[in-house]
Amino acid sequence: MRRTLTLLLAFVLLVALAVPLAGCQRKVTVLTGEIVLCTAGEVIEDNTEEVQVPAGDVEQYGVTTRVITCDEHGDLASVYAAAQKAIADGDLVTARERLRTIVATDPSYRKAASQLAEIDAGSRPAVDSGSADGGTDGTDGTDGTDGTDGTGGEEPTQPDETPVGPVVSLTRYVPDTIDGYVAQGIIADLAFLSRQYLPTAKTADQLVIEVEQHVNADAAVAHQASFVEGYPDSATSKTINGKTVMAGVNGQYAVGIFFDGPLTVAVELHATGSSGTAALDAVFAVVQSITK
Amino acid sequence: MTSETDVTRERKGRARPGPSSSPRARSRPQRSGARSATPLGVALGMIVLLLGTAASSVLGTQAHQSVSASAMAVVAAGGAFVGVLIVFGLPRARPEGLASWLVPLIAGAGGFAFAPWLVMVNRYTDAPPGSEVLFLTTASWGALLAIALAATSRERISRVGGALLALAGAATLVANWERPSSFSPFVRYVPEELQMLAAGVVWVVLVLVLLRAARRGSLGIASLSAALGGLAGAGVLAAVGLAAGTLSRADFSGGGFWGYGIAVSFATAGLLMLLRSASAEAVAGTYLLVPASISLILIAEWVVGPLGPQPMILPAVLAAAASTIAGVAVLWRVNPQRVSGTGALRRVLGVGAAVVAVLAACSAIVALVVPTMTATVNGLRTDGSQFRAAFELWGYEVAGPWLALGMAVIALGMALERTRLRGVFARAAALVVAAGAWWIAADTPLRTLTTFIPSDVQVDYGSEFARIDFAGDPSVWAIAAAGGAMLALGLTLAGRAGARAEQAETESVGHADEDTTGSRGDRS
Repeated sequence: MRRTLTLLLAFVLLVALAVPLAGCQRKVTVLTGEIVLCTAGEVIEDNTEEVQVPAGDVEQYGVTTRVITCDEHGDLASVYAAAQKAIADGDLVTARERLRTIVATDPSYRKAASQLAEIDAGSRPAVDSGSADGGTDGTDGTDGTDGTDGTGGEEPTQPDETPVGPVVSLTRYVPDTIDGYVAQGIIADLAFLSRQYLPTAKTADQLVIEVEQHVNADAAVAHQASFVEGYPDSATSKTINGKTVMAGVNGQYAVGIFFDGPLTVAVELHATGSSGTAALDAVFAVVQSITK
Repeated sequence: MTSETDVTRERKGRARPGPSSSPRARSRPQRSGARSATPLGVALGMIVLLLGTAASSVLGTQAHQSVSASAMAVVAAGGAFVGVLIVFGLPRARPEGLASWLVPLIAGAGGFAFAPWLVMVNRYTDAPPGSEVLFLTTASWGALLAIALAATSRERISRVGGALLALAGAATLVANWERPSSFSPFVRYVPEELQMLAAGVVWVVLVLVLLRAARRGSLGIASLSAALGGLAGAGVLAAVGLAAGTLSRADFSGGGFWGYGIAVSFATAGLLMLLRSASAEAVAGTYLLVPASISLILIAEWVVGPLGPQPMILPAVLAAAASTIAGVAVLWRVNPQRVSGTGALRRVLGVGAAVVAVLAACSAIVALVVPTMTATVNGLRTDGSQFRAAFELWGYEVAGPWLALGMAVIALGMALERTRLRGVFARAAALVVAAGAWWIAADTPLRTLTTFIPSDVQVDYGSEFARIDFAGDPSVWAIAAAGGAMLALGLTLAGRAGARAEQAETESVGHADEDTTGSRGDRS
């Protein structure tokens, strides 16, 4: 009885395993089609659909991205360019008029709203010389239907897309909340992650914290020394919460870097003034905050 | 003659009772070389074997990247020879016949030289992944040995279930070393991994040959023959390597290389220490525990080391280790006894337990072949296009159904086999532990990599370029299997406790003689 039962179980097990291994073709649901993006970042067309295909055919499917400058943002781009030129020329009246036109159409268009607020507050905003989102410079006033394939996957990780894998343990140095800054998404690699923060104060316009895993503590110390060499001005060091922070300035950039075992943590601020020296105290304050 | 007739002879040759000065009778199986196993001795042997095997696995992984497989086989055979000398020294007796040394010689050539060579020759610089190699060359070998030992046992069902549970626990454990895991056996390197299992079969044959010798009291001679066979086999492999130009003097260098040889010598010594007790269950159990022991090393590094990536899914790793230990606990034989309970309730409970356990095992088998979890892949391909796919994992690609199957088979064995009450409680405890571990680790995917997701996406799993996420709970079939196993266990315990009470009552009136109705032995 027991032997028969044993043999029966073994037979059923073998048959049960053989069925999926040999007979059943797995189906995979894939997203396929094309997404058309505007250089301003808006999705103009989403022609994707989910289809169920045999596993062997999965490789043939994917989502391509095409980046164009839409009519609306093409117009805005030319108006924005005119506004920047007016700011550069010191003609804030013209600049304000152009910026109001843009904000009325798209309040989120680049820095139009903030520049308008600065002008209304009586100050002169900095000229925005950066390119439009999406890779194509939309400030030339052309419609720019360039049709090039975009790189949709290169957008920064959104805050809700937390990294996965071992690198997760490094996130303790890139908290969601730092006083005076607004956290952006985390960009993670296998042993490295960085996070950008937008300062709420006007003395700086960007904060980046980079956390990197090294082979051992000696490698981390070596990295700290070589890293700070790139910031030779106003070199200083300070011990904060038991961490030796080496700091320096290079142009508008102020950096503080410390190590924690095999980790190095670099805090980098981009000052809005002509020199980053004034931002060193802010760098130390950030280190103080993340090493509490 | 006035002397009294000697009634003590009873025509059986000897005049007086008491010790005889004549040589021991040879009509009974000899166990002159086998020592009774003390718990301390078994524990010591297991520790030596565990450390030696874990170290040889780690150092072999490091050394094989720069050393040819032939050289690894040579140092493994040399290490095994040293291990035999450590335990037995040089032989003081001569082999009694051709078979007593020729069979171990051949088995040794296979187990001490060919098996290591077969493993190493199928390893590339960084493939198959270390977790797969560890699983296929330690835990899987242990499971093969455990099943081979169980095949001749009266408790074969529960012990096969134990092997299955321990193996599933080991797979679950290495699959939780990181997430997403590189552990995806039999996906990308199928021929190589099958050959590693074949090497395990060769090693199992060697262990069984040595076990047979241990039971005949000739383990020392057999071990030395096997070690010499290993050296001879390694010599052949080295000669072939030299002729093919794959072996050179430069291969015999490096700390990892020599460390591997030393580790093999200790592993061999531990193996022989356990076999001296004429039992190999501890050997199988130790091999099944190697992934867990290596995990402990990583945990220790994490605890005492500086901050850094902590890749393990710790609760699942601990649960999987508990499953492995529970499965290993079931591998030990507990000689069956005839249970004398004949009450109707006890019979109903026994039959009920068996039926429930069969249904649980069937549920587990169904759970293996139905979709269980969903994987979602998001990534960026090298041509810049986005890739997104979702697919279902079959039950056999997830830990839960395998763990449930092991539990159900153990429960079935307990229902059908007349295990002694002490053994029943030990196995019941193991099943309860396994049930708790199942609750924690059942949703562990045993396959992350596939043959159909583009490789340029899979290679980036865990980075900002690609990710794979798993979702889903154990299937109804798996839950039914695990629950059924526990229900069958409960019925078995209830029936056995009732039978025990009835037996005690019978013994109290002098009608029971447990010794005469008891164990008929176990040949495993």
